[in-house]
Amino acid sequence: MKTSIRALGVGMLLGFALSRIGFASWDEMHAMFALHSLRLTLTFATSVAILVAAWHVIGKYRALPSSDRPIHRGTIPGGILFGIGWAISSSCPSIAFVQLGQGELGALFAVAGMFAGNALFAVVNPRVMKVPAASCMES
Amino acid sequence: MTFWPFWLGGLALAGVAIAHYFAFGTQLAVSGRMTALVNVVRDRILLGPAQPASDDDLAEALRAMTAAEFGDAVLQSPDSPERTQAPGPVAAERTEFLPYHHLVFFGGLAIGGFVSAYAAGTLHLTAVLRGADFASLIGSGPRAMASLFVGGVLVGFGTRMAGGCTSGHGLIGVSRLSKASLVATMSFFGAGIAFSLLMEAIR
Repeated sequence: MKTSIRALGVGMLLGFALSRIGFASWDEMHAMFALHSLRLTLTFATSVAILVAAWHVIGKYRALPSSDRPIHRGTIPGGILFGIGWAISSSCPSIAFVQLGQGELGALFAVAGMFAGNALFAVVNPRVMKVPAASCMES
Repeated sequence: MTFWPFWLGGLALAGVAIAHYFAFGTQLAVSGRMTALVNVVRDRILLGPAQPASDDDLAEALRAMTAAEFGDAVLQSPDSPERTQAPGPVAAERTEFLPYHHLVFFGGLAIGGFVSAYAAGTLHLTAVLRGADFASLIGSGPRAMASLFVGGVLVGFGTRMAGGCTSGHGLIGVSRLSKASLVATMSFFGAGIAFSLLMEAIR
């Protein structure tokens, strides 16, 4: 129950921020990828720079979860497929849920696709690709 | 809606990532939450409903899980312990309930988007997505819906294959200086740029 209340709070903060930043707008996302505007790229870079400093400070007082994920043969092809899907659907993947809240009903198709694609990889991977993939939360 | 300048947006995203760490003890990973949900459903299908199962059922379920996790080959190797040992811990380790907090997190994302659009006075229903470039590059109606579904499939498949998305690899992994995350982030940003330029070229 407590976990759910926290999940609601953090989810709402992230959803509000993504909406106000413009990450949840297809046109803004396209302006970033097609290099028409650097605002979202700078937003992302600023955030990473702040987090580098934040983890450095927090790490002095608490043990941070391991971030040591191996590079495997799924890292690059998976990233490329994700990048193409992101450029088409603007889902990265939080964005689809934020768009639903904004009243953009087409995001339902992206949500259905994301769960289908995730499940498809789980089914196909052990038989065909055998990538030793573990998602961020599993490892 | 007037979008935030880059410094405010960067501050907000970093703040959410730090809040996530203090709230859960784990780091922000949105595609990881999707994977966790999908895995519960997969386990339900492979292992059936929660009820006492016979030893044969459990052995079969363990074999299926082992094949799903490591491939069929491991079950055929003669020294594979799965063939002789009792299936023991499967029933105890399985998830007996849906991790609702993942669903609540996705609901929270939608509520955040709703509050933002409502406060800005831009809340209204759209059949697909809003945007002039979206309409001209992706289209409208069934064509746009099909494109969004296909794009979603690529996102779901690709993020699970790469082991993370914009949050887990891009924000967290890169800021933790993880090499795999840097490689994954360059891959998806590079592919996004290349494909978007291609879409404009062939429009």
